[in-house]
Amino acid sequence: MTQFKKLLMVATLGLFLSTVSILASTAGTVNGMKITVEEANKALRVLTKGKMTWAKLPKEGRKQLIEMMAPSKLVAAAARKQLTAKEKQAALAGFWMQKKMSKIRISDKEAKNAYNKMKKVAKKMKSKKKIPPFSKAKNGIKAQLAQEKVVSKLMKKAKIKLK
Amino acid sequence: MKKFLIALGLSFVVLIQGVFADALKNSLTNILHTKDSSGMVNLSGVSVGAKPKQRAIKRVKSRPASTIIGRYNDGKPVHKREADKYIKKATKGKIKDLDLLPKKQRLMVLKDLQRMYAIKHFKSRPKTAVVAIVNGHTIHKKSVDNYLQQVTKGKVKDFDRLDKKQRLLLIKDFARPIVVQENIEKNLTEIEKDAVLSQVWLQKQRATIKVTNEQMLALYEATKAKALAANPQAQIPPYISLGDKLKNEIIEKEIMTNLMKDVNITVNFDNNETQQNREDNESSVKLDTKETK
Repeated sequence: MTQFKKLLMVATLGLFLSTVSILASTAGTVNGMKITVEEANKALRVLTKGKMTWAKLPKEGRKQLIEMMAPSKLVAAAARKQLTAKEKQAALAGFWMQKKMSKIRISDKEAKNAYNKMKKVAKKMKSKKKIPPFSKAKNGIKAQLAQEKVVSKLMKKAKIKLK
Repeated sequence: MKKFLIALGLSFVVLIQGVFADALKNSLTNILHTKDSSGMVNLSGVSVGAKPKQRAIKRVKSRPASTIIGRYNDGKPVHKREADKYIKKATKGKIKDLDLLPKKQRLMVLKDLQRMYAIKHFKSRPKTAVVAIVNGHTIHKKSVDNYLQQVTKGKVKDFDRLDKKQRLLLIKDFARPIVVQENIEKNLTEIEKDAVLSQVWLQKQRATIKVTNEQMLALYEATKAKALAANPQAQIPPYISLGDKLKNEIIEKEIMTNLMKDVNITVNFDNNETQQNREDNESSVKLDTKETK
């Protein structure tokens, strides 16, 4: 019984301390969503070019800042709630791909080789579609190659087990 | 004189003939001594009177019909009688014994039998079966079957009908978005995710809100009046040049109005780090959003 009491005390103390640390960093709330002091300070750093912090901000300033930050919080919450899983997945995948692709460089030579290959295939298939000149297709081909590189790199690392 | 001339002519002819005969003899002896390269068959060694030699025919000992010649994919034996029956049918009765065929053809018959057996006794796994594991994510047959149907435009519907190589290729293709999604979860921060999703949501909202010309004109007039009140000599751009700007402004305003409807904002005015309960804290203030707009 005494052991149980000790355990309960430790648990209560832990809960109390964690609540304190969470609440201490709250600058405000928007429909129950927390805006942390850290977030507020980040926004202030941008707005005042580092001249002001949450701690130094007067009452009116704090109120204005939280009101200013509220719409983005509300939009983010609405987006998470209202967008379908597919929409979210597509949007995040697109952004992630752009981010990854920006780190990959495709040379003109690589793009030209791919262009020639595509041209050859089109000729073989007797395609009636008009093939644009390389100068026009270059950027598109580069993006496609970069995307392929990103995905193939990932797939190489993937652990696939057939059953 | 005549007689003399005839005798002289005759003796000349006789002499010349001897010379030609020598040349012919020489050329023939040369042919005899040189090796024939014309490609014609040399029959010089053939003995016409000899008895023809009979070519030895290898007699194949046929195995009994119950002989096991291989195994089906489920381990069941393939008996020779099945192969015999198959050959008989395939050759329209011309060949009835598997053992009469060379090894290569025997193997082909066995493979054919195995293939036919596999088709006849094909058993697909249930839809709920796990067909692959990609980076720890289980992939069920149902989803792969659907994907296969999509890829083959309905020609193939069952994953289990593919061979091992094809299965791996399909799973690799199928797993791409799973692997990408996994990386998104790992590599994107919550802030980045919020920013991206917010953009998409706003775009969607913009597309649904319709703005009339009257609304745009009203906003234009209001903005114009405001600008002129501040500076009577201000140059106001024509309405047409501001079309999209006005439209976007109205849309943004409407989105914000909808968002901020009944919003509950509280601000923490306390600098004391050990604040315990926001609701009990007097320095925490609830804002009336209607006032703040």
